[in-house]
Amino acid sequence: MVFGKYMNKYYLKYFIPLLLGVITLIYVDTVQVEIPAIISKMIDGFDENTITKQMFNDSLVRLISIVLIMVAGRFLWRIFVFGSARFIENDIRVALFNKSSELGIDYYAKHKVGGIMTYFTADLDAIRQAFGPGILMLADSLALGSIVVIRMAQLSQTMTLIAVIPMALLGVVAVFVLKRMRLKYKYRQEAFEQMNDFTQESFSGFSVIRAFVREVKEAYFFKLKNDHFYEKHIDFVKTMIFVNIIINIFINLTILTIIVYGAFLTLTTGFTPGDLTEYFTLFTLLIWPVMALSQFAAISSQAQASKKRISDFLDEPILIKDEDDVVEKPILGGIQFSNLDFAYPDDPDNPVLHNVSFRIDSGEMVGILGRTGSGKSTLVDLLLRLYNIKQQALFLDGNDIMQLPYRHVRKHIAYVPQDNFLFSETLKNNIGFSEENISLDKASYYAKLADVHENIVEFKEGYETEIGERGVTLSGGQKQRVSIARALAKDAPILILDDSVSAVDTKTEEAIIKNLKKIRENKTTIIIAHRISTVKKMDKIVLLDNGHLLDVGTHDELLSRCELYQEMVKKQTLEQMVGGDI
Amino acid sequence: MRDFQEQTITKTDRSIITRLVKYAKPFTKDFIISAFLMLGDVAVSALGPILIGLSIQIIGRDASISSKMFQFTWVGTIFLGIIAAVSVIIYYQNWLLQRAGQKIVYDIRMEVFNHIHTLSNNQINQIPVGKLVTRVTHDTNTLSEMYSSVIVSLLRNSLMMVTYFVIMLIFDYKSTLMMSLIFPFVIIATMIFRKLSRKSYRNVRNRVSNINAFLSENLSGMKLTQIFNQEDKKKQAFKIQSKNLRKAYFNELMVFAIYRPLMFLFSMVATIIILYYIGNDILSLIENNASPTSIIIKISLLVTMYQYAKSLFEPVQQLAEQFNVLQSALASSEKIFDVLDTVPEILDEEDAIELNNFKGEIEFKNVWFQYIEDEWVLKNVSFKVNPNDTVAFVGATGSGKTTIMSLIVRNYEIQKGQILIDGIDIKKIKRTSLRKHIGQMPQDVFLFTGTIESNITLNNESVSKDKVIESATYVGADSFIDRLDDGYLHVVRERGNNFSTGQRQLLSFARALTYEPTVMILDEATANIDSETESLIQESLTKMMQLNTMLVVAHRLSTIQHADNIIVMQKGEIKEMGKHQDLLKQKGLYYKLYQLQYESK
Repeated sequence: MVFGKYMNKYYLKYFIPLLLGVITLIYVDTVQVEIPAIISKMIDGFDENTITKQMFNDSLVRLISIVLIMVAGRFLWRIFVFGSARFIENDIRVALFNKSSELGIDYYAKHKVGGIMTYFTADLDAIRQAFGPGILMLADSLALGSIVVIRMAQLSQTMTLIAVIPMALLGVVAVFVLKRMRLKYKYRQEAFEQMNDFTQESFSGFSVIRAFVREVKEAYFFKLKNDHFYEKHIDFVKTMIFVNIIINIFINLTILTIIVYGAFLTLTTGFTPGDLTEYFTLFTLLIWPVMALSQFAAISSQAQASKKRISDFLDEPILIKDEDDVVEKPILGGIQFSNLDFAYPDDPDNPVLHNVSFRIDSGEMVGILGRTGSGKSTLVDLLLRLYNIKQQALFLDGNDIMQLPYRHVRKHIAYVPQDNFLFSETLKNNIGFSEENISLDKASYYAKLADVHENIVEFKEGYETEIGERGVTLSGGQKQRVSIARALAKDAPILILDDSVSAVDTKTEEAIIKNLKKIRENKTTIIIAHRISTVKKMDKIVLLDNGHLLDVGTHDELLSRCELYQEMVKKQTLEQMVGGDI
Repeated sequence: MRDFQEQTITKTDRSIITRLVKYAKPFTKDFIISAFLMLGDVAVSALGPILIGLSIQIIGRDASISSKMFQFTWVGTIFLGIIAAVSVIIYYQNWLLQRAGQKIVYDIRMEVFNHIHTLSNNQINQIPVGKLVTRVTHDTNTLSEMYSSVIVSLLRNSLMMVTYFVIMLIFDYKSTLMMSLIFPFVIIATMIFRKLSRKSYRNVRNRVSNINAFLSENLSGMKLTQIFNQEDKKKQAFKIQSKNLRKAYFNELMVFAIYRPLMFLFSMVATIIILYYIGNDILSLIENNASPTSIIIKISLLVTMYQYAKSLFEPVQQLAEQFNVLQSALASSEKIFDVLDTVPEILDEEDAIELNNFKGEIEFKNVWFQYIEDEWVLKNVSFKVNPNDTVAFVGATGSGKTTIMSLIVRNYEIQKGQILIDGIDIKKIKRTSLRKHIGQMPQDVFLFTGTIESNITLNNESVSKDKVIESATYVGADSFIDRLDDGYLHVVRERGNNFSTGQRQLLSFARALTYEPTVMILDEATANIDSETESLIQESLTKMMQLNTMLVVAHRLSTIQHADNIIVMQKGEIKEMGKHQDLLKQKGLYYKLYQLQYESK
């Protein structure tokens, strides 16, 4: 069982199945202890010759009905308790994903995907166990444990004292030996991690090992790690076997006590052989609750840790939110930066953009040029409202971007990312990413514009071809053109290509730009680049350096007056010559 | 691109098990001994019911209370003795099995690790390091479950079942045989369960991996989803995936929720059959006024048989539930065997020779090379390096300079032409021998966790400390090492991230020098290096060039002004060749490179 801000509501939501489950469980426990009682009566009846054929048959019928109740009951509580746990797990999983969809790129910049995945896997499983097996173990050990002990005490108080004390002792001992076992397991894990790290390093640095012919030595070092792990594992196994033996000895000693003392009671008091048999059977029923309680403790402590991690994640602040007074206003493609300063929220002392002011008129095709680290990608992130900025620094058609709903802003901007990220879905769905069920005609229309239609129809399943691990692997160029088709299909007043054409050769680049000019007539298009050739023919080139705006103008204007631009032109021409591209 | 997984189609469960059994062969003795010892373990658990029956018999006997108590004490003492003896046996037997299992896995792990190190660079580079590591560590771990837990449980549970059944047969064959009538039902139910649980387990595994793939893709691509305003669509898609997973889990739950109570039902039916037959026997004894002793004996039999019948099917259930462990162990073994079955691409020819007294002459004769079909990286490259010469390779990124370096040490096989070392084709030379004579200093210096010293010697104990200091001093690395409190024993963290690029480069020089190579290959770092270290590097390079034959991929033209030969490359072809001043005079490609470096700064 686990409680907390994000957990308690599920007890309420699944109150009925959980309650039904616990009730069935307890009911099954109650009828379960009747079986030894019936058999005890039967044996005493035989022993004292008081049983008739009719009574015998009645007992068997009663036995059968109890068994049937138990069969149904055991089926039901499993479905109720474990089923609820799976439903709760599902609810939390969905809540986790919804949260991850709301967290901004500031969160993803700081956290690794692998780490976030752990919330969905290991942590979620620990929580599920606390709800499923956890509730079962707690309810079952308490109910069955007390019913059995009460019934045992009814049969013989003294013997129960004698039998229950070793079991209680076992519970206490179990806590200690299990702790020792966990410690040994921790050592084993550490040895495993060491071996894992060594292997990781050995395979990462295999070329060095090879270059210096150290393979034999490397194998020897791996052997040492392997030896160490083997030792620690065997150590753990020994402890585990030892624990099992301790438990076994406790149980058997108690059985011995029951038999000897029980026999003494039968001989000296009114304790019957039937009572003895019943008592013996009851005792075997007691073993599970004792073990379950100590397991419950382990599950609970694990769930506590996971609950904290999951709650912390769900509590993460969300950066991008709309103010109350935002109003949707038309966005046509005019952009105005005015005295924009910006620093990333986790590094506020290091501004990446300083006092940037320029305007892009609706329908213009603009290149943003700059070296790595000049701030050009940041500029685009701000335009997409991926970060918050101060008021009155960025306007879309005269409206402050901070006064517009952020989803409204993004709805009007199409985007081609730098890495041309595509999802593992069909090509059609990738192109139609911005809408529900794009028609084939529409998808192929934009694919043709992006010059990728020919490639797509060559695949056996055409637009229905899955891409990614389960389907085909696209070449870099194909991915890029699909990514462009996806942006074009959004048909937004503003299109941004984020450094996405720099990977292709100059000829392809020229073709893409020529195409874009035609398609995007009268619509704003912004292309981020670090190559002059990309932006040469744009209506306007914005040159950024080190977070400062250096100049804005056409290619010829910049060439005539901007020193950095001239240098860039010269250097890039030489580079192309050396590389053999001119 | 070929991954290990593409070969998996041919492997059947049977062939995997056959191979696994082969690994267990050396431990046959251990397995047989533990099986014997296990009998003791099983016997103790079989003893309880007999004892309780015996007690009832003793109670019913015609004797004084004190003599009965005496008998009980005897029974108790024997029981105690047996428990003590058997505990030792169980401990030993369990340990024996676990040890054998771990040793088998230990051997397999060594084999996988060493096999991966024999694969060619090409083969290793095609597979993410994480996957390779998983094969060596996690998959072998899963496999160990197979040897330790599956085999233990298989042996123990089968023994237990047989023992219980035989004891029951001996005690009362009539009722036992009647009880056996439900065996077919148990078998059929278990077979159906096995099939269903396998199906539901696979279903769960599939959906888990689907959802994980979905998560990892969508968490990485969250920026794009948000930019395209598609959060709701993705949320919806995840909801469906999650619901599918829930359904799969529920399905699995259902299979168990039916099977377990069903097995309970069977064991209770068995119990009731026993009770019915023996009970009727007793009733007829009573009717026929049989002696109380014979009745008591029957009653004690009833008690004993009841206890056995109750637990007769527990082993079946446990075995059935071990099935999924077996499944995942088989899946892991398959992956492991795929690695072991991958044949190394580059192997020494049978008549390959050991290279002694290597002068340091290298020649490329019309070499053609490609990584991927029809994308030539080197086109008809020919050049010759004389002993003790320094040759530099310059050109734009992607012109093929680095590739030339890795071909000399035969990391890849060329498609056309010949590479000769002292006039011998490198295909005829043992690769280890080749690499021993060639000191490599790659562009990305890889440092291992350990100390500075262990990184210079690469844990070679035959290298003396003096030699380490000598090499480090020669290349000028001592200037920063001496400044560290613990000098050569200073800790190097993962991938050497506590050292700057320049420092790593110097350590790489020292490492190469320690091994006293005849030829040195250097791929200069492109990254920016602080000016102090930069000048150290320049200095030690000039010194090293005088030592022996040296090939340099240069990014800083200042490094190579005194080289005996400069080879200018473009798109996989040699465009110009000559000394610095001559090339500058040509005003060709080299001149442009020079301009690029010095004028546009």
